[in-house]
Amino acid sequence: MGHGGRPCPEIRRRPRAMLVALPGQRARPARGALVGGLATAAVLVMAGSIGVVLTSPVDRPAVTVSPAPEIPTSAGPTPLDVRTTIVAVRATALTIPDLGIRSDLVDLGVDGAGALEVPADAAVPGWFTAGAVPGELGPAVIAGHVDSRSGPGVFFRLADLAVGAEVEVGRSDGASARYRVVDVLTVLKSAFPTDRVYGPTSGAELRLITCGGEFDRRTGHYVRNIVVSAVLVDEA
Amino acid sequence: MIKLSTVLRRTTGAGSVVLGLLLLGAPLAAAQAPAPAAGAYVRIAHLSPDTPNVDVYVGSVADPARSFVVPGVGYGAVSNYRSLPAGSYVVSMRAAGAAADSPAVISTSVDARPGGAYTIAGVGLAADLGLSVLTDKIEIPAAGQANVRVINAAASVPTVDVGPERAPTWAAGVGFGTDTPYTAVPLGTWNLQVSSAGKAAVTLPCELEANSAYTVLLVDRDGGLEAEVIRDSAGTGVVPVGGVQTGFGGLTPDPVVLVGGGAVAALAGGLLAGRIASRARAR
Repeated sequence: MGHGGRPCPEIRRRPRAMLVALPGQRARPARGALVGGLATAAVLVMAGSIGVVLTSPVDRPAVTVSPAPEIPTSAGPTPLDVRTTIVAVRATALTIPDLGIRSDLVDLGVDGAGALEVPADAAVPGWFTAGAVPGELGPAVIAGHVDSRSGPGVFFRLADLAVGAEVEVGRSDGASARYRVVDVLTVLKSAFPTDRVYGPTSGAELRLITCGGEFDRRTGHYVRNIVVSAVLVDEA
Repeated sequence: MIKLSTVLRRTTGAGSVVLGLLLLGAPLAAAQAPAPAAGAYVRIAHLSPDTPNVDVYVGSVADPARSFVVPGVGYGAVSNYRSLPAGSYVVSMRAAGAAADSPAVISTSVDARPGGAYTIAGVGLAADLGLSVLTDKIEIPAAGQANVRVINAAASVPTVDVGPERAPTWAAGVGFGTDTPYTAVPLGTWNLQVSSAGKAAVTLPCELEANSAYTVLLVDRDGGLEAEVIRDSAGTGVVPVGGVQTGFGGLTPDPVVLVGGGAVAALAGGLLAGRIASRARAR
């Protein structure tokens, strides 16, 4: 590894966090929001270019400014260029060597009922845009079909994936995140482990979701989900 | 070769020696070890203002090869989380640069449960140094809220109140060397105020996002008080409801049309045979 394919976990996935609440960056007494924003932007650029690894110990690109409590001002707006630059990063490609999967990814949101959308094409998996950007803090979520109406879907063999298998997710900024499978679960959809799949994590993780179990013809759906969990591979 | 479990039992209270032994045989190869099974997260913090830099030794009881050292951790530092297999660990702090087999300044054991996240922190003044194991929050907060806790590691402020300006306090009377439980607070951008003895000491902007937990850390810095907001964990920004409908049933035999069902069964059988064959070839 290491040929420019490293994720940049110090870059937060949601743009609103840019100014202050980044792990590892010191939120400081407001001294001038613009200066703070620029400093943060500089740190982000640095983090991106040197490929800071999530698990690297202690030394993070923290910006420390000594307290200036005598000038309490409001936070002010975050510079727009930072937002638009960061928000553009998406998951674009999925590679699972053990299953022979190498595919592009489509974007997924939630439907009108609040459920995770699924790809229209059974041959192409989708990335949940409200989840983590691959390589960054939190669970990145990818769903794909086990079958179409006529044959196998892209995740037909997902349940065969073994603990320890490697999964790589490419990003729109050219970086990629490499994960290793830690858990393969079969669950009833009626008892879906929402906390485990979508809940907070203290590292960069990945969820791969498809269907399994019996197919219920009355509802037109399988009764179970297969959920694969993976964690970012330490490169430290 | 002495069995680890025996050593541990025999040297209760002197985990440092054990750890020294462990780590002698635990080179940096730990990073190349096989992937963790359903793991836990651990991070290290040095929160004792008058304690010099330390080397932090994390020894895995089950698998010494997964032990590691975080060198030269200074006051105020909080490491990133490290993904580890769930299990028991012995954590020890030594003066920076001290020999791995020298007596530890302090040590403790950590039972890292699957899916758990922990902050292991040296706390208090050097004369009364403690090693705290904090359980970090990984549950989904109620809609519209985030979980926030406060760690007061600043000796300059014996007790503090923390909360947004002109709004109810999030944490009151947080003493030096202590931490609060997580409390659920509204999402959004806040101008967070840390006050001591009724006087504002530091004000800092912070943004709390959905499905996340944060620590507000207070440390002494350059004669003043410094506050830092650290994100402990993050989940998906939107939490989907229920399971995922990722199948159309095309591979399920159709019970009504027998011929069709047979064809599908044949197809499935063919695929299965193909898989077995490819596995056989792989051996």
